[in-house]
Amino acid sequence: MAALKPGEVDLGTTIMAVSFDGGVVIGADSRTSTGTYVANRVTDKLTKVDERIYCCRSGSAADTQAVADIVKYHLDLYSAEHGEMPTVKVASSLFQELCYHNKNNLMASIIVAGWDKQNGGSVYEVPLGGSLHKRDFSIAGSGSSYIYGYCDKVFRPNMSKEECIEFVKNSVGLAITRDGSSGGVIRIAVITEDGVERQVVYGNQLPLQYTG
Amino acid sequence: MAPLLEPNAGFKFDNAKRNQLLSDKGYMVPTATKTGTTIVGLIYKDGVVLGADTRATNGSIVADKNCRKIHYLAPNMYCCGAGTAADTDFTTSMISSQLALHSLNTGRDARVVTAMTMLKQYLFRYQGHIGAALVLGGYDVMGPHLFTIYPHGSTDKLPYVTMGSGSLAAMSVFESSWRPELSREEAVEMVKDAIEAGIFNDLGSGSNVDVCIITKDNVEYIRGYSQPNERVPKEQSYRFAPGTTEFIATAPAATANDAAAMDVS
Amino acid sequence: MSYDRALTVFSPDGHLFQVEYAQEAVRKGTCAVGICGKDAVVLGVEKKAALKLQDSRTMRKIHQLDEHIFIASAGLVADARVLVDMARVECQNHRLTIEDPPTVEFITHYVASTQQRYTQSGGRRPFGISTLVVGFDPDQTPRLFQTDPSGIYYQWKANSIGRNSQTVREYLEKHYADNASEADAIKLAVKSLLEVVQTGAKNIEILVVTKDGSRTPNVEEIEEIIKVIEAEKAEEAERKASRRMASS
Repeated sequence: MAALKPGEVDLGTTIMAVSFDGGVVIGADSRTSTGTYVANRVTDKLTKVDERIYCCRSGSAADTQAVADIVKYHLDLYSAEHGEMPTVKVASSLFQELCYHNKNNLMASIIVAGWDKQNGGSVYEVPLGGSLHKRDFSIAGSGSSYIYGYCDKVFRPNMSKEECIEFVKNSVGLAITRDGSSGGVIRIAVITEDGVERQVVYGNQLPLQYTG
Repeated sequence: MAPLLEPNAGFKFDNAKRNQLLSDKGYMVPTATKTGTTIVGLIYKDGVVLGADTRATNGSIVADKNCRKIHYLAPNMYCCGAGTAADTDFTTSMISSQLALHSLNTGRDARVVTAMTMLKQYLFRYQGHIGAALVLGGYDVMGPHLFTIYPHGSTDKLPYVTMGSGSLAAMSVFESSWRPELSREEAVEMVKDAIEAGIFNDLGSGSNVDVCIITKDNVEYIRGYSQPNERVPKEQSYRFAPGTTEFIATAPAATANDAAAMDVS
Repeated sequence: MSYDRALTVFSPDGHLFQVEYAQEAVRKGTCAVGICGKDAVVLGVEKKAALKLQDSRTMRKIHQLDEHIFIASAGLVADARVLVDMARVECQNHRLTIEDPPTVEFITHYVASTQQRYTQSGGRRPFGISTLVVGFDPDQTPRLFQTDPSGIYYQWKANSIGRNSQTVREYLEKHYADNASEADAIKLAVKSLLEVVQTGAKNIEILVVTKDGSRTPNVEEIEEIIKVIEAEKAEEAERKASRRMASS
């Protein structure tokens, strides 16, 4: 499995996706680093690959941008050929194809989340080796290690949209506090049948937590 | 005549054996000239301002005291380059050709995202071995745009950016002063201050400040906008007076007429 | 034995019939004329009448090859499109490797060589077009070249291609003057086209190239020029008539 090459831009990251009845809530921090320097402190790691399907990128910035562009191209072609929007499963399978067959040359850990007519909201994770896992919620990136316990405790099935947003906000906020590679603002997107609603949570609006 | 416009995967290793033989014989492998560099870009009220220093280094020697780091891409787009000098020069030339063809083909001015996509896909193909770190700025039908492109092929879209060894020094200037809707004078002064921060605090950057201001209808490329490193005049004349060197003995050198006549037919 | 089917076969009397048939196709295309002046070069083309629902802006007869080089063609429009695309890439290749803009002769040589290659190898048919390549060399000299389906190319002071090109060329031989000014070159281009274009300004398109760039006069400007020409013609006719009267 590939590692980051010297000088390669790293999406340190905390990324997260939670599904609810009617859609998904995805969230990410906004820090991209090259070594110890923060190259971009306002990155958007929530990347649109189709009208109702987003991916959360972590790993190498170059690799994940390139893979997302290729998947976007394929989903575009899919819509034109099939005459209907692709499902989240199709999108995640495409990510899996690319990440698995190029596993030696890529460093990409991606969460695919979105809404489609057949299944409503779904979350899939495609970690480093290129496997595919459907989940009710998923966390990834270097910052995720610090919030596994929190997420396992707090998550309940059948949460409402507002509860999911709070869940994402709090989790990513906690990860940012503890992980050096995560920081900046919290970007959140809510994907439902009606559209994609984007929010930004700035540093001074972070939920209250123990900061020593 | 056709240069490498089509993607041929990977590098050509035809000279590898020759290079090995030469280095076994003791010839030093020539190092690539890097541009050390401070390059910046920022978006202001009416467009984009790009700035760069002008020092090119070869190890710890200054190879060029006044090189051009702001490269032409299209009438409405310019690109600053940091990293390996040859890589930035040729990458920007090639993409400039492709943009010209694209513009003729579509009958329109090219967009900045088009150049960004061409550059990032080219650099990603070479997995970081082409050492070109670029600041791309331009003004198209959608307005002013500013991008950074890293050697591995990742890009960021931001309102102000710095790249190169002096980028930290320059970013400190931007982070403390940048605000949206700057005027032209403020923007150019801020770019000059940022580059000068790199020139004076980073050993890999030096000499002059080049500035390029791109607006909707006009591009102004100012070479040497600021020249804070002009050489001071020498303190005295260091010419030796004739007769300083004593002659011990003189002998006439062999002239052409003495040598054997050339064989001509 | 029919010698006009396969391209690479000569006929017993030394003809390449496919090339000659291609030249016939050229004669079916609308007329184009090129005039080389002292510091401007003018291209004039007869525009095909656009059908009612057609967007006439997309019917181009004059194409830009590079910042300083333009091309007009007569004959099969699709063949022209292919050659123009190839020539544009060649201009960029030249700029990239030589680091200088190509001369008009260089790109004409490339276009002509391409046309010739399609008459000798590959089993393909020739391009059904003749072209007029105009522009300014990097040393500021204006140039006009012509190519044809056989792959020959020559430099001209003024020339025409397409239908009725013989009539136009005879007119040019009679009326061309060396070192024409920009205005005179434009007038000559319009005058020579009016010989064969019956319908006037709306079917004529002009491109003026100078060392600083190019411009396309709009329909009103061309109508102005035509008015001046007609006024001059009327004056000339009156003078002739009065001279005849005076002498009788």
